[in-house]
Amino acid sequence: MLDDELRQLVMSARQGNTASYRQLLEHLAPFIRRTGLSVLRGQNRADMVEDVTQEVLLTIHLKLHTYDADLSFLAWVRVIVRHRIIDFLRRNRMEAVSLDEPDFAEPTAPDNPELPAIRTDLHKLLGQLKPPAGDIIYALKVNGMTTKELAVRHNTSESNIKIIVHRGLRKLAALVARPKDQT
Amino acid sequence: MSMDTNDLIAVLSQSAPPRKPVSFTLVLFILCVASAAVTVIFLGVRADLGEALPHPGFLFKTLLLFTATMLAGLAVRRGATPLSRLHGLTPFVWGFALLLGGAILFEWVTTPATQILALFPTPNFIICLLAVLLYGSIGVVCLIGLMRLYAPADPKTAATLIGLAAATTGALGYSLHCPFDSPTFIVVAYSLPILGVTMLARCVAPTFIRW
Repeated sequence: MLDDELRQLVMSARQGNTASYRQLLEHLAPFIRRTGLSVLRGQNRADMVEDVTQEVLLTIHLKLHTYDADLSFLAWVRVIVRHRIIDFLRRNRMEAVSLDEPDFAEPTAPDNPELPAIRTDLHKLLGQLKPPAGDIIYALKVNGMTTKELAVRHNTSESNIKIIVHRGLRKLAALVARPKDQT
Repeated sequence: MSMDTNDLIAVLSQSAPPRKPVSFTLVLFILCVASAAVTVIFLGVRADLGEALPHPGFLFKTLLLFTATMLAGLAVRRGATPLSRLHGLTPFVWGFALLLGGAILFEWVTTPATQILALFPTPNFIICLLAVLLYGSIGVVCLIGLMRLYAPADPKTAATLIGLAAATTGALGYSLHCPFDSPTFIVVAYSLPILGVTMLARCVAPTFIRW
């Protein structure tokens, strides 16, 4: 489901439409679960994924008023998810992980008919980065290439690839967080 | 948690999400009015208020403190959400710094240094420090309570902004008593307690506003 549709559900929920609110939470739950799972697997605590999912859903419920409708809803959700997961790991004394570049799963199924549109949006965003950052991020995060392979392809070091990815993702986060009329 | 996630969704969606709490703007306005009221009641308004009112120096001081309060308030509000939008305020902060720097430069060019420096070893300097510290600290407590209902992207930054907003609000209220309109005096006598409250909030508040 695209960001705009989720945003519509938020607006509707804010006006007291409980059906929209339920739909919103139901759409978000698998996305949160997948993201939680990708982190918790690394800690060998995949069994705790439902706890994390529920904590995130509760936080979304309590803090939904802090979402500014001019900004991307998914970007807002990502921050909430990241914040809650880090908090959950700390509370459960698990190994600290860096979620600065989380491999967040989009709340869409692989066979989703909207996937081409999402890819187009993604390409547009990546196109705003200084080359070759967009290509590198796409190859790394979408095509699953390793930093080693990318270092060979771009004739540079692995650490340089990591720096490019890190900076690129930060820039992307800023682009996504920017109000629509400024993009 | 033993509850099924679908059950939780059902429970949560039975009611609309919580409404937005009281706005920072309203709380800062109340704090400003309260600090002005306390100043008037316990310290009294400056004796020469009638004469000072049309004077550019007084108007500039009020404008300066009002702008600082507005900027700090805006920053607190923007920093209180997961997607912080503080970067949009940078041009205003630069504008404010230029205004302040220009005023100080103008004062040092047009006024003898001895006249400016004579303002500091006065009881008003100490009263200013203490009053802004006191008002600011009370404001910090109120704003921490409010920030707990929000979800700041970075608790440390939010805590710093809480201190800044609370102290500038207190300074604006206190300025009714202060008889000095010198930009240099404002920068020193007001900035010191503002800085103190800001640092205090930065150290203490993050623990309370973590979400």
